[in-house]
Amino acid sequence: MRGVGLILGMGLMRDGKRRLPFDAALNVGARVDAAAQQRGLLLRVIGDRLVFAPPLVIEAEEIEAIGERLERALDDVADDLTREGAFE
Amino acid sequence: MSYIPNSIEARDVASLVHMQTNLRKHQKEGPHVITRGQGCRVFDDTGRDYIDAVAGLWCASLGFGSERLAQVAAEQMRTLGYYHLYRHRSHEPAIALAETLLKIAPGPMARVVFQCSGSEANDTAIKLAWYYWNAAGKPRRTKIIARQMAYHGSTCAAVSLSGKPDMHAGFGLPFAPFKHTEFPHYYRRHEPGETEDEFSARMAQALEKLIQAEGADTIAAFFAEPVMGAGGAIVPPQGYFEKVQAVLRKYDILFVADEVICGFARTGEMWGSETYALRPDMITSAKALSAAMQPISAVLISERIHEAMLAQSDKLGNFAHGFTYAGHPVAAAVARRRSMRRSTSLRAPSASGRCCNRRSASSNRIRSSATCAGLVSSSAWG
Repeated sequence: MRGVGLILGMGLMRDGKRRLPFDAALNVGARVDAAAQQRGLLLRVIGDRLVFAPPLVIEAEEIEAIGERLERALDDVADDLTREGAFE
Repeated sequence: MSYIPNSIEARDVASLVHMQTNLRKHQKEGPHVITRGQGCRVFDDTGRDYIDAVAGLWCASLGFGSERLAQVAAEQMRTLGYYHLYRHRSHEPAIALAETLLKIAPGPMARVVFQCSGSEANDTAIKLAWYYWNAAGKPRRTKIIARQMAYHGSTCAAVSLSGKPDMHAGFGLPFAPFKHTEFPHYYRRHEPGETEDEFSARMAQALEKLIQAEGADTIAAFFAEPVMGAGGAIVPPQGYFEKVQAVLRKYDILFVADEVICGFARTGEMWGSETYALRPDMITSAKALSAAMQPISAVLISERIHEAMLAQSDKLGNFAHGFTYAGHPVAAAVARRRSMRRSTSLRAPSASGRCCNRRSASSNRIRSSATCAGLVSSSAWG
């Protein structure tokens, strides 16, 4: 995960330290996208990478809200993947 | 799924082709209809609100509604709702916007060419690179290099310039003169133990090898975004542009900075070229240029390019290029008002301080939420 200014990219990985990606067939990026929309957050997902480039006029509480909604969406998908045995 | 007759969903599915969409799936699942916007939030037709974390398509830099810019547009439509820039005709909104852009450009730029979209800006910059080398008596310099996974637009040439195979598939693209060098995604592509600087050196070497293999005297230009947008928001690794620009200078290859996403403060400075010390021969700009409230794009050209264009007019009698709505007075007036405001506020120390604070708050909050879920790669946090 890296960014500069208000552009930031975040890779979703099965094992970040060992740089192991998720099996593409799991469509993890698309699942996070759908979960985020359910939580009231519109994301841009590129493969298994989430990118953030909000309006520059974003307020502190809206940044907080992005973090909260994203956290819930990632938890939703992590729970599902764990149940499917695809993620520990 | 069957839609209620005459519902907005039924009307959409029966009438529209959607971009970057699985069209078969869309027939079944229908559209997500957005009805209004306020600040960073948009509302759908059920009244539900969403925070848009990517400003629509990286463009709505001032949010999704603006009374101030609405008034600028309305006033311009009453005064002069259309005129063109062909055959010596001109109008004040285009002149004023060009002046503003030259004033805030990240380096010395000589003139501005207008279009309506980022794709057209890159398409124009490709043509101008060819035009330049023709004027210079080196018409063999026709090949254009960009990076794998880069996105530079959707016209035939701009998508050929792009290095995304999914955007070439089914169209028989890219066109032959477009070549792609390595994708500088350090986290995913570095060798074990390879530092960012070493990785950047390897990327620059790969570029040089490609130039040599193709023949340096056949290369017209290299295109790059300061931060790759649709490639995945990829920040350049340490030392990358310094090394790449040295290779370009060595072989006298034009450098075009695609600032369509980065321009107008996305990287925390007015231009990504400032953030990464780029010295481009041309800059393409769109999206936040008008805060996405109007379709407009610009190519900023250096003296070197402009001199060649003048020489071509001496020879050919005409700069035979243009778009009907290029520099449209309403779009230009909106962009001018928007750029004036941004250029003032960005240069005020207090405002840039606020921008930095927001940046770190944003990153930290998003990072901590990502850690909680454990889905996000952490070793590349920097």
